[in-house]
Amino acid sequence: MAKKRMTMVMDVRRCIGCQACTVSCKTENDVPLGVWRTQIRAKEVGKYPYVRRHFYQWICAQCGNCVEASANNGVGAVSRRDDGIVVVDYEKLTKGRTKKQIDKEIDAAVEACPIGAFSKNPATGLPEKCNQCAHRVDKGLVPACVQTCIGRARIYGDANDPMSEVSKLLGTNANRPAPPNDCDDPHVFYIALDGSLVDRGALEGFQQIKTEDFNSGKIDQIVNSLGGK
Amino acid sequence: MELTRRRFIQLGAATGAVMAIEGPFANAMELELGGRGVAVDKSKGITEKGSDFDKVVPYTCLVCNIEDGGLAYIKDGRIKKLEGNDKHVSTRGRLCAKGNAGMGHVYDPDRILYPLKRTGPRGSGQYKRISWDEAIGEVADKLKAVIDSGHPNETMIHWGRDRSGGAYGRFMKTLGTNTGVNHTSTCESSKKIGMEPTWGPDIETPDFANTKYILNFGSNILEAAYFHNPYSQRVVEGTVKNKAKLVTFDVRLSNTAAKSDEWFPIFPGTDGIVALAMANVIMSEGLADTDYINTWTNYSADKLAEYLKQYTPEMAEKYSGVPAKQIRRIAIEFARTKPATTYTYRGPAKHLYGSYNERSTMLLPIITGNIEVRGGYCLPRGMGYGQPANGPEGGKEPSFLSSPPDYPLAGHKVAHLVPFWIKEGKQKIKVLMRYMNSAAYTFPAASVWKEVQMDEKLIPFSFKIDNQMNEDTALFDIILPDCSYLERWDPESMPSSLWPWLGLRQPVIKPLGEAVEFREVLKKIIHKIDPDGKRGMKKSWEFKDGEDYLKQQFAGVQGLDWEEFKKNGVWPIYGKLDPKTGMIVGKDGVPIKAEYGLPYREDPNGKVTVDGKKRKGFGTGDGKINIHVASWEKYGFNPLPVFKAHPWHWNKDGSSKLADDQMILTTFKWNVHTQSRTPNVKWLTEMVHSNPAWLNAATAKKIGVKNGDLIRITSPVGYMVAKTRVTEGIHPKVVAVSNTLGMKFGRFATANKMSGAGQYGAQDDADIKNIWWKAEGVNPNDIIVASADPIGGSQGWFDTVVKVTAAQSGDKLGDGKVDNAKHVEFFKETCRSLN
Repeated sequence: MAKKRMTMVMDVRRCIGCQACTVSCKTENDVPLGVWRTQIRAKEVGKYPYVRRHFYQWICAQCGNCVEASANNGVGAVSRRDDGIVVVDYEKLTKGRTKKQIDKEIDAAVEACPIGAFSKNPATGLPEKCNQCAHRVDKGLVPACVQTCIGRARIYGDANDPMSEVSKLLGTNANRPAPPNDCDDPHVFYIALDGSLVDRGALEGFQQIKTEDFNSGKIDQIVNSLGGK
Repeated sequence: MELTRRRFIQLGAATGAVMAIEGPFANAMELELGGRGVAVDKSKGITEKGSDFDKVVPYTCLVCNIEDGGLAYIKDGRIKKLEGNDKHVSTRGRLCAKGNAGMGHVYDPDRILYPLKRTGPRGSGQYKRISWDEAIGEVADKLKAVIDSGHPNETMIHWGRDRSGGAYGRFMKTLGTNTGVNHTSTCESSKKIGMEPTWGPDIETPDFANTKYILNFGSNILEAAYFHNPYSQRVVEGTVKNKAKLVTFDVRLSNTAAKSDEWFPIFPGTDGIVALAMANVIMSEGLADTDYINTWTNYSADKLAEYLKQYTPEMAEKYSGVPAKQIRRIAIEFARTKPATTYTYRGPAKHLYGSYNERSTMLLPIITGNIEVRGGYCLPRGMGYGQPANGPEGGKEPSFLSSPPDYPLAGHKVAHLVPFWIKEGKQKIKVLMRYMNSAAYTFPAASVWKEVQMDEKLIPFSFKIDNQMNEDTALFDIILPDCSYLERWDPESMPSSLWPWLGLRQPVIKPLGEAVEFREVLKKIIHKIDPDGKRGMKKSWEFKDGEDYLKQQFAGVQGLDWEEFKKNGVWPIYGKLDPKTGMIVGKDGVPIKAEYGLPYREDPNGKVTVDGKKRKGFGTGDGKINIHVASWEKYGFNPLPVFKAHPWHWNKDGSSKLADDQMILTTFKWNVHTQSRTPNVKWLTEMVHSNPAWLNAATAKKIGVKNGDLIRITSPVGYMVAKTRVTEGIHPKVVAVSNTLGMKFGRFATANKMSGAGQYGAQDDADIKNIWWKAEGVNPNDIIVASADPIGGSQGWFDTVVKVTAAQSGDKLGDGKVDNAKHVEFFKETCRSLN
């Protein structure tokens, strides 16, 4: 069997901003309050009466920048599985290591992330991020957010399988990798994120988790579907 | 970007190579969309390894009233995950945010898990735990006294989202009271009253997936309302896959308006005149389906065209603010695009003349021949079930509160005026029972409900079946702990797609604490009142348990096997969920097809003859669509769709009555909340815990406030202090405040980080200490004036005239003041001037 390349395609045209994905991720993965692996972020553009609200499905792009940083740090607690999913090995991260060593490894991975995908788990103090529900994928199920997506705005599958739905979507629609552009090898692609709906400039209004926020434990994410504050 | 694009090209090349070997029709190995689950076992620390669940139990959701099919994944007796039922033809395996968070209702750390008896004054929040025996004894004594007094109507039963499938009606009848009051007038009753005499049913089921044009008047279907999840799936299918155009008229840029091709901000309550003007354009441009009008409606196309001439686009522009040329353009687009459908919800209906508005919008699919066609405006498909034998006879005496004589056409009652009538002494109440409703918090003029419920002379005894302590529950004398929707039985059916279905709500776990299913509570009460059956009441309540009761209800449904029904949660099963498309496919792998044209079918008992053959027809007296409704004429209302301007907003000559600083206050639902039951669900409140007032940027500038500033919203009866959300996405004469937040009970709702067990028997939630937000919810219901559509009886939710000013010094978020005497004055004035 050919090697798989598990890929998520976000069809922004189909996203209604309902946040079903956000909640299903939390319940599937028992994600505590203050920690996020995916969110729908929104931004209003235009002047009355020509106004639009655009949605952006924020999630780890599985780009592997953290994998490289983690390898360069000599620990390699963050790695890419054969099917492309980027996972954190918590045993490797913590076992037999001093707090300083652990922090250094965490800093390396978190700082390498261009989209602020890591959150700090308040119970363990360790970073976590979307792993595309690897435990589900291993059993032949799509990730929880994909499963519940009302508009089918998230499609998941093997991009190395030419007949898969993700291959079809990538092959027949204009698409772009997850923003920003400095992701190394993204496995998440967006249809209609550029131009027709949300351009790069529009995205700058979205609040992202900054490395310093993560390290200080400050939780300041805006998830109110209308960018509340 | 460079790097990525290169990689992607490589990927594409690989794709081509494989395709040459496999051929173009090979099937992909797609992952499954659900129906079975695995979970991360957090008890072993953070690990990436999964563990299977113990069991999966299907159920029907009830966080809101859409009734999606769900699957509950259980591990060690605890609900770990909820997901949509992949066998459900409407839900198709998906749930919304609220549905996904459903176990938050079960494991609410502040949930009431045993019976409570009030110890302090009403509203003091002082309660003590009592036994079920004591609670039932006291309730039964009070109800018995009312029965024995010979005035059974003095027991008022007030329900809200009652999905008992008849159990409450049975209870009422058993007690002999006709004082049953619901919540429909705060919901959408004028829509129902507008539709029913026109074509029979109280709702439409548009074929969104197959349409080419959706004209949406005031529905926020992509966030809430009927039927959010199933319809949103089809709206997206229609707009993205089928390239349908979506046009929305709404005062606020809802997410539905935001996803529309065009959004027209419209002045509140004027949807009707825009629709009438469009109908006029369609008729006069010769774009109407005159054959259809002449064959299938009770009004001739010529007469209708003549009648509609008075509604010019210019006149509609004057009221609505929508430019006449846009009204013309959209009307022509709508009429020329086939198939097309309209959809409406609270936008047109929740105004003083909501019933007229609804009938006006309904004209559009009728005159264009889009009724009951593929991709058009279709009849709802429902399925019925029965009632257990030995039903009670019911009381004979009519009840003023249940059937107010001033509202003869308001078939869904006028519940929100009930506290005013109680205050006026229109009907004496000795016992108030409430279920699935929190009127003193969620109704308009909520403060008046509170006053009445606090008054022991007006309401000598009150009890509530509920499991949430809130602004309303805290006013009751006895509280009986209700099961959550995941712990009980209910029969279900909703026309949420073009395929009819029956659904089952069944306990997915044993009820927590001392919670008891309401059906059994009602049985306990009746058995206590009539222990030996001599009163003739007990015979109607001789079932073993909830399952036994439902089994009797479904016994008459042909082809339904009870055990299979329990296993699948829904019946019938139309096909399988296709992982590649998310659609239900039949055995041949092709998506299942709906049936259309139901009223046009040949039927020997049909009322309408077309082409020499008898046809089934619509659910009206003559089987035709009634553009002219004679029964309305009888009561002095206009039998034709008509526009009436709201007397608070418009002078008789059509000029605006609003002063420069006056605006209209409207409410809305956040897509992750319901009116009262979700604020203590942690995942939902973590997302939306702030409830700012939406103000148009130009209006904010005029008032002199910036985003985040405090403002005072002053209505004729009081004021509230809210935070401003300055946006381009709202009509400049409208301020919108959601009425889904502002609850002062529950630790997640109030962002109270005090951990530990709940006050009423619930277990701690380890997440309480992780609360990171401030509770910034406010609730506008106290200052919303009560008024009622003289036809449909519906509350004019979006009619209250307010002034918006910068907050005064010392004002704090959530401050407010309301004068109930003014509420009463307004109610009296309203009833006089509006009827």
